[in-house]
Amino acid sequence: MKNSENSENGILWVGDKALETYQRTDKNVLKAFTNHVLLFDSTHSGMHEEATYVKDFDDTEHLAYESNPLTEPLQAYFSSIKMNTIDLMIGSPYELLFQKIISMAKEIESSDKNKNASDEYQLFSFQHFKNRIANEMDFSQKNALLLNQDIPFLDMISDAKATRTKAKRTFNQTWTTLSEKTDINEFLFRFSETSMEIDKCADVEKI
Amino acid sequence: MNRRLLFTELIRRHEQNIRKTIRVRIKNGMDADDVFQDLSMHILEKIEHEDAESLAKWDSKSWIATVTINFCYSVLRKTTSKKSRRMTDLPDDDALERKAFQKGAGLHHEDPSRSVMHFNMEEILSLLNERDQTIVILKLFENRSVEEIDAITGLTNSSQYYKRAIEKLRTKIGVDRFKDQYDDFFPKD
Repeated sequence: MKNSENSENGILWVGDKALETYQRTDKNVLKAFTNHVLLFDSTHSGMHEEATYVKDFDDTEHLAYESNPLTEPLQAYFSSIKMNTIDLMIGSPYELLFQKIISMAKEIESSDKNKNASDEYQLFSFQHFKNRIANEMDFSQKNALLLNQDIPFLDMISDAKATRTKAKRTFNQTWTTLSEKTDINEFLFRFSETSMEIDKCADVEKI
Repeated sequence: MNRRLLFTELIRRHEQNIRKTIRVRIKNGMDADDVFQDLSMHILEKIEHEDAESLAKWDSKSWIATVTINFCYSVLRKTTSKKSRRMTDLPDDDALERKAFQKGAGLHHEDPSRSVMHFNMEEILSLLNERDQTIVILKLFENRSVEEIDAITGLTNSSQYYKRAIEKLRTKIGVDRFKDQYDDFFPKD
């Protein structure tokens, strides 16, 4: 979905399911985008040249895979890439890392940019970060593709539902794949071409 | 279903608790990181071979804690057994001392009046439902009080559940049949 002729389409692939999908995707299709792959750590995901690890943005020795501790490293990561070039975020709503990013996007989107003027004097306040990032990227203009997974765990299912709802309210357009092994080549091809209707893409549904 | 991805997400979510549980139990100079790695492989193997219907239990914190605790005991048991074997491999130049050691270390295989039976704690605990497993682990292995167990599990009468769970285990294992193998007058020293 090109915004203008010369703009660069960026995709942020978040988490292990996204990495697996990225690796299955046709390289010629991927060439149409600037791809950023974000993983939590290399311990369980393995070392991948194309990936960036959230743990590398953390100063503590053992970064917990929990919502709150992820905030600061993710802020640091967002600051390190050109967020305004990201058009599409891809990830599994079952993964906590992706859930956290969607939550942060929702918070940024719904926060009042001019709220609490006193916060401006705090150099590293979250509000300060939110204001800066909110200026850099407007989530209401970005899109998200949620990757489906067959998960037997009730907790994860309910978290994924909440993430879907948040994503739908935050992003410009949100889609979900209909099955675990969905091929997203066609989706990405249509996404890269403004003239083609994405909603007609098989195996991917708009939510 | 990609079970490896499922495992990765699960192990990450529980990593802090698993490491904490390991650190409490593995203290004898062993590397808790190595135990964590081995346990991760053990959990991965279990998840990959688990029936689809039983897979849901891996979402439970208490189940992961049960598996972790059992794994730690298994590691400790192996280490102890290796140490015992090393001791029995000592040169036979001091037979008396060796005999004394065997008695002290409880190696009773040469004594026909005693028998040893080994249990796999994971198998035994799997005879109980998840709630009872949690209660037994908290009571027996973590030495928690009834009040603490009530608070953790949200029950108001965990002592009764504990009593019934132990009774159930005694029946399933058939503890009573061991009575025949020991006489009540066996010296305690």
